[in-house]
Amino acid sequence: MKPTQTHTEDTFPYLARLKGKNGFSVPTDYFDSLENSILNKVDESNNTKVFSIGKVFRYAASVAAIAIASSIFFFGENDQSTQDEFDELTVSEYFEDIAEVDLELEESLEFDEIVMTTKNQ
Amino acid sequence: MKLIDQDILTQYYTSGKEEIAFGRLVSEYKERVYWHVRKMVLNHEDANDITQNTFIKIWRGLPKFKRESNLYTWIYRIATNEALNFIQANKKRIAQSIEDIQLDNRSEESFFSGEEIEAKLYKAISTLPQKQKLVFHMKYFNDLTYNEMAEILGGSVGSLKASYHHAHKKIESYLSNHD
Repeated sequence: MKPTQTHTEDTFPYLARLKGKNGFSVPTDYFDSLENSILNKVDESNNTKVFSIGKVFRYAASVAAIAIASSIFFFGENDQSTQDEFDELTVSEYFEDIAEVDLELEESLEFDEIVMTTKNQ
Repeated sequence: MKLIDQDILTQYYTSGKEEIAFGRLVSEYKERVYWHVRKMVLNHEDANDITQNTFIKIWRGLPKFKRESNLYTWIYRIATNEALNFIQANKKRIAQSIEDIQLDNRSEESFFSGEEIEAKLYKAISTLPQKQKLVFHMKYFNDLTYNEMAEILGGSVGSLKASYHHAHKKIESYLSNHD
């Protein structure tokens, strides 16, 4: 029986010949500058105050919900049940929207995995 | 898990010197991540952007990293996802990059000085289905084991072996027909 390497060279001569070759190159000192760029970006991201748009909207939605509830309480009870249903529907939908915006990295990575798995099928 | 990975993770999680540990991680993996991505997207500037984004994601993901999986394969998975998302969103650009490394179109900015047959190899790879393409990259260029590939891509070792075998045959056939 022939050794695997010879078998590969016999059966796949082009790929055997090209194995380990790398015709690509990078600019001079590229990898040093790459490391600095990455670490600088990490520094920048640490120094940037990150706030969640979702949280801001959630506070705004709470204030709005309280205002709506107060106005109903103070300014009449006409068609109360319909009004309550409408408020609940609107607010719950609103929170669903916010939850979608407020994706954490972990969820994002999970999404990436799903994308990759789908592509691989 | 490799000793160096264990050491980096221990430093990251227990010493309170997260940034120093991350610096070691970047130093250890920057070239491997870059070349993995570069062979997928071909263009240097694109590979540079994707590599940087990969490490930013790694930095943000490290606090939630589950230590039962390998650091090495986790990094590879993030890099692969970043490259795949880029490829998906920039199909025309990738096609252009393949043209750019063909001899007639080669410029200094392409950072490619390989033989014509090597440029044809990348053209041949581009004709493969996505899964075979990924498996071929990881095995042929990066010498990953099938177990490592299964950890990164999912799927069984048997199906990965089959994919690699098919990819190998198709590429060899392409190269012999276009020589």
